[in-house]
Amino acid sequence: MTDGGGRMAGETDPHIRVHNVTKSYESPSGDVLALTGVSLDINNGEFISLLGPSGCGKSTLLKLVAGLDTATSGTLSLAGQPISGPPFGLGMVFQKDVLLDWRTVLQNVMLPVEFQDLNKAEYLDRAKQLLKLFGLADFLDKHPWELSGGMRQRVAIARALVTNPSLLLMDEPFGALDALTRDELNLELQDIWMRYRKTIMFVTHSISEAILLSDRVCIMAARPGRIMEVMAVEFPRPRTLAVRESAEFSAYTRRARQLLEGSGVFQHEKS
Amino acid sequence: MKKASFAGWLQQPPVWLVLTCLLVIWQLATWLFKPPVFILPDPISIGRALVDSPYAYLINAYYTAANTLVGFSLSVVIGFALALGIVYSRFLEATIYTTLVAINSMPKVALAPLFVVWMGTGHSSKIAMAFLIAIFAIVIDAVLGLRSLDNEIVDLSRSMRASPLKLLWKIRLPNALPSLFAGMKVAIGLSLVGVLVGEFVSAQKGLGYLILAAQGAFDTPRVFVSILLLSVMGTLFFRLIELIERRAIPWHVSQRVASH
Repeated sequence: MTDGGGRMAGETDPHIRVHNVTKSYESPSGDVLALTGVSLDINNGEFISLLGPSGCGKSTLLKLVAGLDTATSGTLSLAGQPISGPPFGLGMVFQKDVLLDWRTVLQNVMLPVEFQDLNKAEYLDRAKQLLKLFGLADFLDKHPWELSGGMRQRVAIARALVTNPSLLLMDEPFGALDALTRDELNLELQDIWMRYRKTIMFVTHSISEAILLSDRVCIMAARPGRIMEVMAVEFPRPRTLAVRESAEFSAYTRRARQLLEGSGVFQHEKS
Repeated sequence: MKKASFAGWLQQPPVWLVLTCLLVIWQLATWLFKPPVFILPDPISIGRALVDSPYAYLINAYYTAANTLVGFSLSVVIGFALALGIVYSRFLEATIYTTLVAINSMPKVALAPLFVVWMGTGHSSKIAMAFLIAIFAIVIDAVLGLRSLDNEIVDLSRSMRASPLKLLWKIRLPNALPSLFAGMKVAIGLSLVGVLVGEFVSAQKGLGYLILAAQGAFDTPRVFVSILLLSVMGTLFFRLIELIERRAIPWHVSQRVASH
């Protein structure tokens, strides 16, 4: 736990350090370079987005940090420890909510507790509290198929948070939701983040979502996957949806768009 | 839907009504065309054949049913264990699974005479036939069910540091149940076929034996009674599995009933 204001000053070791990481896959048509020369330091409690087109390696980078995959070269560390396999204190959310149909909402949220052999009684209250925070207090005993897409994704986030992880990795978590639900969940995620101050790595295709939520936006390019620029976003918190209509927001958006354009995204628009 | 209006009946008549009409037409047709009774008996003669010696049918039906259920249960238990092995071991997949698929493509009925040579004319050859015919449906569907996990679920479980055993128990098994039940519904019918084939080849008991004995005596009504009992038995077995399925996987898309 760090206090909100002084977290940059006192820290010498970043929470996550990605140093000169390369990841290549073998494919029938030769090796594919998913990531090349990626270096990134992420501070404790920071909200950072990975923004870029398909194939820029943003999900690959997330998987490397999660310890679900290993880098071809380079090093990754979490709290000073090299990452080899999924670390303790990790929560993940995917675009698919992957809730288990045979479990109720509450049982789904409790899954990580059962997997890690933690004290059930102790975490049950926390699970209920998280679901209450997401407005799902009346749905504890419902099954996933009785919920809307937005509610399901809220359950998935509560599941990721139930063991109180220090790091939350989110891979396009709101990509399958309609625009209004997505806005709603963006605000709720900000609330949750401000309340618990997790380090969040957030993969997205949406420029405005990245800017709205993040302390820093990592803008990436494809073929080969690389980081072009890490853009700090200086808006006070809590941010409202209205911030998107400000001139500064437009300036950030323009910057991100120009970078992506320069790397070959939106080609079709230019010609 | 609860109101049984006449118009509703006409659109979707109840099963018993359809069957009764069928029997009446059958009866009238046999009265009208008078086929020899050993070619096509009428429903009343068939009913009389059943009422004449109900106990004989009952005891023979019991033998067939018991052998079917034992063979089926064995195929479920052993088939599922094999499926687990196939899913978790490359070696077993390359050996057992390929062997099973190869054996499955041969007409297993042809093996029945061999089984009688190996195991005699008693229970075991029938049970073995039922087991052999049914196990493929179980193995193939169980393997399918155990394998069909989303990549995201696997990643999620790994990110939660789930042990392989917990992944199996809490995710893979429940996830495989719908497929397993689909396999069991096919397998129960196949088990009955297996037992019947065994009885045809050599037996002193069972409905298959009754059919052969009655056919030898040109007593076609008794053949029909046996066939009737077999179809009732098959239907009951199927419904029984459906009942268990409804209890076991109420959450599956095929079983869902709106909770409010």
